[in-house]
Amino acid sequence: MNTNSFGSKLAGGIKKFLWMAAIPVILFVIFWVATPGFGPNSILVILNQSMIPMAIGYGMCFLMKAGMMELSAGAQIILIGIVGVQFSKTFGMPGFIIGCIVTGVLTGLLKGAVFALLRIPSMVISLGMCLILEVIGRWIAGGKGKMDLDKSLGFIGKVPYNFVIIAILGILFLLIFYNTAFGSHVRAIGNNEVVAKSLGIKPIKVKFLCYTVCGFFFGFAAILQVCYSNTIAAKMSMGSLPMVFKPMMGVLIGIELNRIYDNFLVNILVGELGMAIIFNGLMAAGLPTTIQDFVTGFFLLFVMLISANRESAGDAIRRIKLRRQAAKQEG
Amino acid sequence: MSDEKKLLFQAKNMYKSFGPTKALVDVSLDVYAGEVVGLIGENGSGKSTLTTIIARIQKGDQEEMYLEGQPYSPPDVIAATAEGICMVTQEQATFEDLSVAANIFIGEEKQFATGPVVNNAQMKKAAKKALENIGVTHINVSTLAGKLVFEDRKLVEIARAVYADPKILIIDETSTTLGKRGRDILYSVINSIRDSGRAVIFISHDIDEIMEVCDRISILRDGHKVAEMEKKDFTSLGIKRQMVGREIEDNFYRNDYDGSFSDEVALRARNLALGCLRDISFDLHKGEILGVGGLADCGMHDLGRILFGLDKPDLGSVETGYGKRIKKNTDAIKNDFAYISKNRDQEALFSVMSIRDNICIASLNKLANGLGLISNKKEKDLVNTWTNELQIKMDNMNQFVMYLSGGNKQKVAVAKWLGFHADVFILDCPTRGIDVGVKAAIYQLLSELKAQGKAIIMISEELPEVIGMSDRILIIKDGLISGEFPRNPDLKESDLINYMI
Repeated sequence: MNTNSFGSKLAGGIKKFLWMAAIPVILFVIFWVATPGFGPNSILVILNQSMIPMAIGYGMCFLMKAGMMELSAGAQIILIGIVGVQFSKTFGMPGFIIGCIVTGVLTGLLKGAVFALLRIPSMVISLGMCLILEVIGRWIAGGKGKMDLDKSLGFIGKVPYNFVIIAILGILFLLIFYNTAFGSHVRAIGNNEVVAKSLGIKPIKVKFLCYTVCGFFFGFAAILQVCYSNTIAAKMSMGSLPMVFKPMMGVLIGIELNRIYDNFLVNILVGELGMAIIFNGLMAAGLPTTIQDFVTGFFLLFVMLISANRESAGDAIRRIKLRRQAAKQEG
Repeated sequence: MSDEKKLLFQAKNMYKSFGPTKALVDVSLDVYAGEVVGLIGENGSGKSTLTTIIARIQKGDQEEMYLEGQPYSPPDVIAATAEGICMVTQEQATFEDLSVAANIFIGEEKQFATGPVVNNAQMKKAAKKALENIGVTHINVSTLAGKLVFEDRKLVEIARAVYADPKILIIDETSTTLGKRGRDILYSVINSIRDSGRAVIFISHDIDEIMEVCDRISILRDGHKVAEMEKKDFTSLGIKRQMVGREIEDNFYRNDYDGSFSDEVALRARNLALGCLRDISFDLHKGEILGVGGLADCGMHDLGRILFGLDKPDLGSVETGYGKRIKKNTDAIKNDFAYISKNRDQEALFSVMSIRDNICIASLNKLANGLGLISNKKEKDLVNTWTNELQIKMDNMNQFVMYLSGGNKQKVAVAKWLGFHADVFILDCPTRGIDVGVKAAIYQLLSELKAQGKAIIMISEELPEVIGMSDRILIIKDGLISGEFPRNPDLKESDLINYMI
């Protein structure tokens, strides 16, 4: 019989949420104490810098939870941004926003269609599509290989509007991931595709939709990316790959944290915020990029270590207590 | 008797092949309203193939089916469920990252949706009702399925199938994964479906269970239907004879009753405590088969994991006969311990690896030469020896394990450790999902291992097996050893049950 009262379940949920919220807070305090140039003034910068990875991370989460690898996100976002800026030249703000979102969905559909048709591993698809999308972006961007957004339009992706966009995306993510059949099917396929198939779920269709939904989120990510510096530059020869790693690390951290707290929205937010705090903290400390990368990699491994061994650590503590009690009784 | 009943479902001239293997050859099956039809046959005889085609998990090469007189050929599982045929498969079919509620309604979320948005509260309420419908009240519908024990996950699958209100429920080798409470729930579900004028197709290797539960049986052998029997004609020997196509002794357990074994200790467990287990101590001797029995949730399956070093006990220790502590599974393997989990698919096999890889994986160090290179010939010899010994039905040794029938998968798991030549065998439900012919072969092997001086712990929920094979029996109740019984020809199941419940 379920003896948990609503109150105790709520308290348990709040406790877990507070554990999650403590991660960025602790990181912030560590850098605040250790780095003179880092403090409350950095909060806005950190939040601002977390918005783009967060938008990408929410999109990537669908693919990664369905067991797929996504390395073409950077190329896709650059292409979306370039098309959006192109549209803004004719249609102004509506052209920019709608252009980005529609291009996001269309490129998502394209990647999904390639996956559904070829049925080859997502890693191969993502590398192939990375090259193809980069070339298309470069081709649309033309001679200089970069496109500038009219400065009067850039405000939409800046504080405070970027926070509003992320809040809307977060709500959409929650709705789609936890309150739709599609969201359940994504998690089911990531868990056991064979069983999912035997229960009538169509993995190819779900993965196709994953690419599409992911493209929708990338549309918003592209809006934020272009507005961040009012410009977007095409990349070639997989130059867009580095754009993928930061949000991907945030999602990986989020997936690991999900063992403790089943809420991907919060977990990805914590993961991306954590990454932004570390980057900014290290930058404030004046450390070279190599050390920044080293510490970031270390942080990722540390979170994975804590998350993966949380139960073992709890068991070990319990075991030590029990053995002490038993020894006392024998004594 | 059947002629007076309403024909509910009919499958005619069913054919299915997997490469050169003919899984079904011209098989027909009639199912009448208000009956439980048993499907029985050796591993790889075609039972699961036939029922998965009926449930539309796969399609037949040639098929003709009718449900209530109408042609029946739904395109997929969801359509089959909508037409009234559901299946509980023998494999684990819940998703650990989804809540119990989401697992019950996977693929059926639309009924709680407004547009694309699913009302989770409504779904949880319905899931609670679905579980209560089959008499399950101890499972929290918000819990992630991954946090449930094996039996409870199976009960979730049963609730999922029953909630669809099927005209025909197919139950494939499910009872072996359930303890007493789970089986009682399953039988009550079966009875309620039969009593309401619908039907159940029931697959089990347990002949006594089949005889108890079913009104009629169809017997398959090598993809052919070889016999049909009405309940009045059921005899254990007759069924076995039809299944394997030869005479099988009714009692295929050990005939000796001296229960002797060496004084030399092979494994020493002292004061083990973890979870519900409290203060478990015993010695396992060379040449001994030590049976461990009890209810499914008494802790005996956890004991197997502790003995092999997979779980650390809160208190107590496991040692080899010469005093070497077993702290983790690598210690166990170094000391030639072997372990077969009850949870075959998750813990005993690599489904997307070949039969060859699965059998050789534990023995790779033994197969390697001085340079660490593994001899291809030695690998093949090892695989050939044990696939022949256990009569594993396969296309070739490079076939993926996921394509084998449930029983043949279990044989591969057994072959892995037999090929390893372990000295101490910890076998948790070693004959789960194995047909009577292979069961006899496994029992014979256990006797041979005993004769070679190997020490064997056989954890089992099947009391006849425990009584029939063990030199000594430990019964566990509520985490404690509640009874110890030496081998004795007069020992009855009822003697043990008194100590279990």
